[in-house]
Amino acid sequence: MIVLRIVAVSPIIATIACRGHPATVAEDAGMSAPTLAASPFVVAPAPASPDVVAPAPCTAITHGPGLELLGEGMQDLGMRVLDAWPNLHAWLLGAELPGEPTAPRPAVDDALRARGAELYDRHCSICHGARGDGTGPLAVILVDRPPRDFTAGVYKLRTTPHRSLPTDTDLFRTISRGLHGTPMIPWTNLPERDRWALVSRLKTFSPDFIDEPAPASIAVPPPPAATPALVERGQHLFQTAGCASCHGASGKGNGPGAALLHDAAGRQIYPRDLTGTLYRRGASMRDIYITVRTGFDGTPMASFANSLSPEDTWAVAAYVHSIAPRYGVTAGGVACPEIASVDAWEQEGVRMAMLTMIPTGWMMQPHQRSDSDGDD
Amino acid sequence: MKSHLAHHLIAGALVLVAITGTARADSGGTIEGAVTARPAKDLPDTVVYLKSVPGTYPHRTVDIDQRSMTFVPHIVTITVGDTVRFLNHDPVDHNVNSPDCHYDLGTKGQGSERSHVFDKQGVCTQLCKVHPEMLAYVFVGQNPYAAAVDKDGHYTISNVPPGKYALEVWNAHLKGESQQVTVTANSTTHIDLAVHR
Repeated sequence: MIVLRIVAVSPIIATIACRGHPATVAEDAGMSAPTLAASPFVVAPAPASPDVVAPAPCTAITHGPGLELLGEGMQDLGMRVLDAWPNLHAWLLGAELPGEPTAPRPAVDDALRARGAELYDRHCSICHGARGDGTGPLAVILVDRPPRDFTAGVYKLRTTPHRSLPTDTDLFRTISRGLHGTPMIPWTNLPERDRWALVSRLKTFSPDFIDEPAPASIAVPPPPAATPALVERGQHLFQTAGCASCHGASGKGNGPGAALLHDAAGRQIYPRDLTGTLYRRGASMRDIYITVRTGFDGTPMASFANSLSPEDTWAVAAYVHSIAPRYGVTAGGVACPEIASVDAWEQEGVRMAMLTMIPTGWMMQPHQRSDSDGDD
Repeated sequence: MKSHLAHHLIAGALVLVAITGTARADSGGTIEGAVTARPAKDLPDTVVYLKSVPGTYPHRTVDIDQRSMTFVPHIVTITVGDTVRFLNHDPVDHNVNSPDCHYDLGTKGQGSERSHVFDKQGVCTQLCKVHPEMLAYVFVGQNPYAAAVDKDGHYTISNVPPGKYALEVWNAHLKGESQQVTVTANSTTHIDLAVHR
């Protein structure tokens, strides 16, 4: 029953999101517009290409089916979370949030550890499990997007070489930026100190963080200008360097190997449609560069650090960036996503996020908050 | 009638040979156990093997299949002189090369087949230039008494001639200690091993 209701809730939140007030989104989001627009992590508007379809009017999203199935209470829960979460509104529309810490990280002492354990139990364990093994109560309905098993010590989003652990800042960044297309929303409601507390908690679930020295991020040279020539070279490399086998000749996730892929746990997984859905890490050239060179450990997405030079990697990044869906974030607010299929966007971006927003909103209800407010 | 009897005798003799042959193979012992790895993510890249077992071994041919964008199996254990036949069952071109053993059998499409003879002891890292996520290992031993671990770390080495041996563990990333093992006929010796940094 809960699954039905959660799925059914998606159109209304899409409605809420798209009916937002474009002129005031940046302000709602608790972040000044220039910061958002200037962030290297935000997809900048790109020149029109034949692959990019015309902007889908937001009204299309407001007419999704299932509105009538939605109870009043669910709407309230979603709204409660949207109100309390800086930037969640923009994130649901595809904005990529800056996830870098702005203050020095706090010392890891007993107080921070205790705080991390408390926050983890309250916010994370519902999906990731009390023991961090990815088997929280909600995991049973997340078969398509299983929560990370922190005990395995294997992470997709790293700035470190293939098969390495992530840096602490990598974990901080993932908590802060969320993972588009999954229930892992950006935890922008937590102060930075609390996010660092969660980082220290996550690391306790795998002995690898004790055994292995702290890994270093890969070097990211300054990006070249994304000239048409570079994009063209990247497109050629995309065909010849192995990308197209899975992601397809035009990046739509329909390569000949697409139906054959499994993750480390043996679950079938699918390559990203690079033209139509939000990227896990992000779709800036820098993000794509890091993904191509470090790979998504535990998935068939390899590190190409040994097969592509940094220059060639930038070319691939420029091409992929050129076909990525556009989420126009401007000083005036957040524009609607320019994607081929509103359904796909809705399913990817909102439906999964709702799985977190509903229980989180429920926990934020006054009668639920009373027992946890005292220590905040 | 006479010829019938002769047939029976010949058949009987064949059966006897077959039984003795089987009995000889079965008179070996078994070594089994489990390997634990720290970090656990490195466990799949593990082989347990006997360092030296005197004897000469007939050359075999084993297959590595490029299937579902992976090498299947992930590890083959062979003996010096054996051949690996590489198959491609995927609808995409795959390459077969090994940077540490210096061979490159080229890039070929679905249904293709190519072979390589491994004439040196050691481990060859098996890669596909087109798909850097594809990785396998060819473990080339002095003898055939070697086994890759399963997903839980279990291994079984069967039909080992009775004797005293050094039981070794190889891992692509980690180290483990050698152990002495005494194998007796028709019995199983249980030895657990660990690999670590």
